[in-house]
Amino acid sequence: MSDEQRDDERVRGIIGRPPDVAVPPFEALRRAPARSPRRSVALTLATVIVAVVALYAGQQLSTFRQQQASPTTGVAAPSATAGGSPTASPKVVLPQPIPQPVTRTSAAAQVAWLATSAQDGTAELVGVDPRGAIVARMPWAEGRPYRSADGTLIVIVADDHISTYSALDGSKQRTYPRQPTGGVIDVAFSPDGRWMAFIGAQAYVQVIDLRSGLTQTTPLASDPNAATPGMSGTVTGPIWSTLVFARDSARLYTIIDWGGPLRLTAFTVTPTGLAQTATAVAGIAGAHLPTCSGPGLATRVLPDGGTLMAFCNYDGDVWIIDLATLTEIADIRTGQTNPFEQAPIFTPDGQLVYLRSQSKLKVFDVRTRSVLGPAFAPKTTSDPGPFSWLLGQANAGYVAPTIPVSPDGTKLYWSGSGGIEVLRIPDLKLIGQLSPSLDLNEVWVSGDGKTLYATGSKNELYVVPEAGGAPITVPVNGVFFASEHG
Amino acid sequence: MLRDVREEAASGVGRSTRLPWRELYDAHAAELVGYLWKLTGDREAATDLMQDTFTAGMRDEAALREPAKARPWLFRIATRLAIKRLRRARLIAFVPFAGTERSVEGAPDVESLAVREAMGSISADQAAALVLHYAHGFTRAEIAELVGRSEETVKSRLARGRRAFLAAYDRQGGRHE
Repeated sequence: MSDEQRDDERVRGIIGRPPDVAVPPFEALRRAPARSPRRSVALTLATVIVAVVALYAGQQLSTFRQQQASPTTGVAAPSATAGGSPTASPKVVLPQPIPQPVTRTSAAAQVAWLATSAQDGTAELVGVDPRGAIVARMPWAEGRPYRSADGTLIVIVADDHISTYSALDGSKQRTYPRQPTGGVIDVAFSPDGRWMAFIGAQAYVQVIDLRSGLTQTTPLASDPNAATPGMSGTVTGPIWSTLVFARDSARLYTIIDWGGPLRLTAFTVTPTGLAQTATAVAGIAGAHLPTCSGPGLATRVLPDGGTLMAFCNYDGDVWIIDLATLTEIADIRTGQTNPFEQAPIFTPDGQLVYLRSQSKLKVFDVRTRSVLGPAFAPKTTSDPGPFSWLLGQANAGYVAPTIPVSPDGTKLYWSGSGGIEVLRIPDLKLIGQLSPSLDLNEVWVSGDGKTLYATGSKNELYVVPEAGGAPITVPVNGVFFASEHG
Repeated sequence: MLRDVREEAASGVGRSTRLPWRELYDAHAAELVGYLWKLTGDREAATDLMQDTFTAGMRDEAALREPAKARPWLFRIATRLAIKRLRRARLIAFVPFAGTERSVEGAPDVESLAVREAMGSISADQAAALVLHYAHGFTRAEIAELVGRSEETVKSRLARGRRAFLAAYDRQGGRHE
């Protein structure tokens, strides 16, 4: 069979089967438009107007593409909405990324860690270094694994204790008995690697000094009648809650009961104490805070230190909250129709949030509070590719545990059947491909950005030099775990 | 006096009675929705376009010289309307989001998504040729007549469309081997 015949049969197999459809009855057929002379004039006028608008839009689009092909100071987008409502479409320029200092340069931060599970039910945590050597294998029988934000520690949180291990070689560092014991709802790590904080199911926040081993615990207020739309049964404790450190690693914020009434609390973290500095509850004492209609909330304190950004996975809304007053600044509807799919991806400089839904991509510009897109994928490196995306695996139903952005914040990596595509921030133009013959799932970027690790569709791990070169195949079948969202 | 061609067709009165529209609708409406659905990737849009097809057909039925060829004639109208819509949709894909969506979709069907995205990645002319040929059994000559192009052009559209479609389908994670 020739290639043409094979393609012919394949296409027939893919699109040859007509779908089963029901149609409205004949009586429901809309009436044919009756054209009066007046209507004809109106139609002519409308056609002219549409033609002029289309011509203008075409010019805008053309300009847009040209600018994206060779961005200099900014990438022009054709139009945008701001503040959640349609506007007069001001021209918006996406900001160029602000290169971030690369701080995670320790050897431990370059080791990729994966959680694996065998068919016999046993599980392991496996560390692989940039040479493709397996540097650690640890039995994983209980708890949930996390990685500290500086990349140096692996932390396993179990119901009655917390254990830390070196990310360099898996050697055990310390064990912390937990008091109170029980479930943990969410975990966050300070950017400097010193603090680990978590919210317990029994409504408290606990902070551990990973240097000294000291722990500090304080109760968290939670509304026993908090709304938890989408959940059934008896809800006890702050089921919907999350926490996030500021970049200075000295301030911690908790968000509880976001289904309503949302409670936002600020703490300061010092070696000698965990102190609550302010709290606000939506609707109480005039506090104005947004509401998220379902599970899933990803948060980030912006580099200015005074603004909290959050993405409500359920609604697809982006919130901007002033941390000085604990008050909502904006609640923008992004129109993300499947927000659980690989969203959000915050850029390290805090300027943009990429939101992917299926093969379409939107970008939220924090400065202008604009939602741009949707746009589609580029096909080749010669494509202009605004907000473009190469659809890899469908990952519905969760917030991506890793953020495949280079540590300096200038490139975003995407994996799929064409290896790893390297996309330029902010326009996501395809600027290169690494190991294009590989069929890949998920990518993790080493702390210094020099090594990419990717899980393959054939249950193996590939270690790919970011500068290019042959990939190293490692027989490890697992998923990455990291804490970039923390 | 303005006439309602739908009523005329249904009641068999007036100029529009040359064709049995109810029978034509029963025979081809579902097939047209299926065709338009594949072409546009949007079921609601497909139903709308099917209705537009019949409405336009009723209005211009004098253009159909051979009633026995009603099926390809309806497909011709549907194709013209769909291509117009697709081209417009691809242009306005960059128009700002209106900020009214709130719904959350479930997990996507990867296969359907791959087909839809692959179909959306090729030209509307190529997509129409592929669906007409592979899903609805039109020959190259019939498609050529239907879209008003030479058979050689249709052959080229099919060949290029097939390659581009499969490449995009594979890129989107389609599973059909």
